[in-house]
Amino acid sequence: MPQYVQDRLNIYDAILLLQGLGNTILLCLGGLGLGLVIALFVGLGRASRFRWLSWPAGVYIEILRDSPLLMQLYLVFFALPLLGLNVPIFVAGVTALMLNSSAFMAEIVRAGIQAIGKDQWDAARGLGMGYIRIMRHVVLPQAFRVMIPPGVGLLIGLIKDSSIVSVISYIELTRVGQILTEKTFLSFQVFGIVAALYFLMCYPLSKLAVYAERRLKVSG
Amino acid sequence: MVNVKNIHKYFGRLHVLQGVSLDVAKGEVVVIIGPSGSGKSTLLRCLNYLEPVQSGEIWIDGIRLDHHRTNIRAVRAEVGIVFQSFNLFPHLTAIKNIMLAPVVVRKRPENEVRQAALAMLAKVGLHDKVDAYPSQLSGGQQQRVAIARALAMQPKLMLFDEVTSALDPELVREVLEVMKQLARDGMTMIVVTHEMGFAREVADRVVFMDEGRIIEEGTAAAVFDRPREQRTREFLGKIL
Amino acid sequence: MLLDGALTTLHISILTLLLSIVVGTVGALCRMSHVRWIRVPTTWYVEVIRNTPLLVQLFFIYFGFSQINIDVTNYTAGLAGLVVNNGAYLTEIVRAGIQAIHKGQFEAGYSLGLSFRQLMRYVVFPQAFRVVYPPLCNQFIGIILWSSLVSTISVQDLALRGKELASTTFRSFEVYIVLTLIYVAMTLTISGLLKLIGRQLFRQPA
Repeated sequence: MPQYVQDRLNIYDAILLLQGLGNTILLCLGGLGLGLVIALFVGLGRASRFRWLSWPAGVYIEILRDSPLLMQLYLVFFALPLLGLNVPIFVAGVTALMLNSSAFMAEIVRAGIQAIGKDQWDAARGLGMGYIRIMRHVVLPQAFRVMIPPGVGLLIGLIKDSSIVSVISYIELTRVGQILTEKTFLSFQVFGIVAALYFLMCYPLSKLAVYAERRLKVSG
Repeated sequence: MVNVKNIHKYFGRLHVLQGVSLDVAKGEVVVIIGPSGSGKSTLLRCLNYLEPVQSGEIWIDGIRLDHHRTNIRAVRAEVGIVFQSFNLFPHLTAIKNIMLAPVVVRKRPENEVRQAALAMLAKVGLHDKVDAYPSQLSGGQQQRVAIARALAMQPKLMLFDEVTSALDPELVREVLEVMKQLARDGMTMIVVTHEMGFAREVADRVVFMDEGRIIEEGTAAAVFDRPREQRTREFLGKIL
Repeated sequence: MLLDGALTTLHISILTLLLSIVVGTVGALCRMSHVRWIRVPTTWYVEVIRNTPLLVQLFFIYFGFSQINIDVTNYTAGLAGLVVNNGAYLTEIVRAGIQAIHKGQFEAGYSLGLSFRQLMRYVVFPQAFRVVYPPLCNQFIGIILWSSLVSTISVQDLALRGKELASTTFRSFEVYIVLTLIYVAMTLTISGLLKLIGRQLFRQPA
């Protein structure tokens, strides 16, 4: 059907794709930024030796990791209005992504902290440093390096996960793909391009993660 | 039994075997000595085609190894090899390690193979370790199981690649005893080793290799006590 | 009604796992092949799948079938998408399992006269299975959770049934909380069971 092919080649569709791409990036930035902050605190709590901190953190992490992101998205989308807040779909999407990624990131934080051997703690305590100072000047800087390779992996996962926000009709990249496919029936071409755009975002990051891991091993 | 004719082997650019020729008769025990990197392990591994050669010929019992029609698996079944790192199958017990190849490759019935395997374990002195896993055995015991496993295929030729080098000193003797008995029973053996005492006792011939070439060969007494070549003297001076 | 959905979810997850293991094993052997035109396309397959979202892959296949006028049930399209996706991850898992095996094992096996197939069956896979079991269990849990995406192409799994229930009762929030808890319960139970089974299977006298 030539007219559809001509429709597909038109510039507005390309602009729509770029808009979708932009919105995907916005979703990820929002989810990552806030998610990291939460993850830091939850991860610290999980690594703590106080049961009353590590246990609730554990429950938070497990629930978010052992249930589908789709469910979490629906929950946020339908729950927030009940609290009286009229949320735009962008906020619902970012919130769900933020909560989900914070759980996985918290585990990465915990592993990073626990990777710092006891010797470091002994040395720092011997120098008279308290918990917060030790964390700030000794443990976290070292843990940060350890967290980078899995952290990049998490970012890749986040970019892919953002596609789920399409189900609440937010116009990110996957939703644009659905719209264009409905219009042109050219699924392979449309989703081929959509997939290629995701690939272009994720693949370089995956190479970066490998590089970061290698550098981590070398410098010990 | 074994005829090696002027073989050359390369690992990439490295000329590991430079025109090696060797003949081993049936029932003969040949010990190969030399510094590390001399190519002696590589030579051994070429004999059962674990490593291919780039030029030259290798004949085992009248069959040419690198001929395209040769059934390598059939040849390998007739050549037993024991490795420095034992390479036992960790998920199988000692007796199952020994039984696997005769059942699967030679397709012998299981109870026949089991009887033979039990006899083999007794022969190497491990009749009480029939159902032990490799992780439960000492290095010397594992190596003896490895020898039994190779023998279970009733090979015509046995190759030993520095089989005691990875063992604690007190465990070396039990493995060498098994090998000496094997030699006395008439097995054709090619042994790469540093154990000079073993060589003196059972070797019919000692071969000294260095930098991919055979430098000297002769009886144990001849090579150890009256080495002809300068390099042989240097090497022996370092280790004796 | 939710029970139906849960059964469908389990059903499609188990099928996906089994088929993905087949794809993954073939894929792993291809990834390690010396033949370039087998190894390289397999590597592309793995990299493309791992760097694109599952949802896009599902849509690609689901709408793709209708584009080329092949009539398949939603279930089949969903299953196909899930298998294509997980097959790539399984390829890497199986490959790691095989590569974890010491080279000497291959040498010993070949030296005894074993053929490639015999070596794989009696020596390599039994050992690789031990290595592969934990990541395999994790992957299965992932399959159960991500299978919820087939609800977007109208497969009547737990997620879709839940959504229907929510819209008919108008009590979305409670329904989704329950749904989430059901998924968590399923996940924790299954992973606990798998851990127990693992401990039994791999019990060797120390």
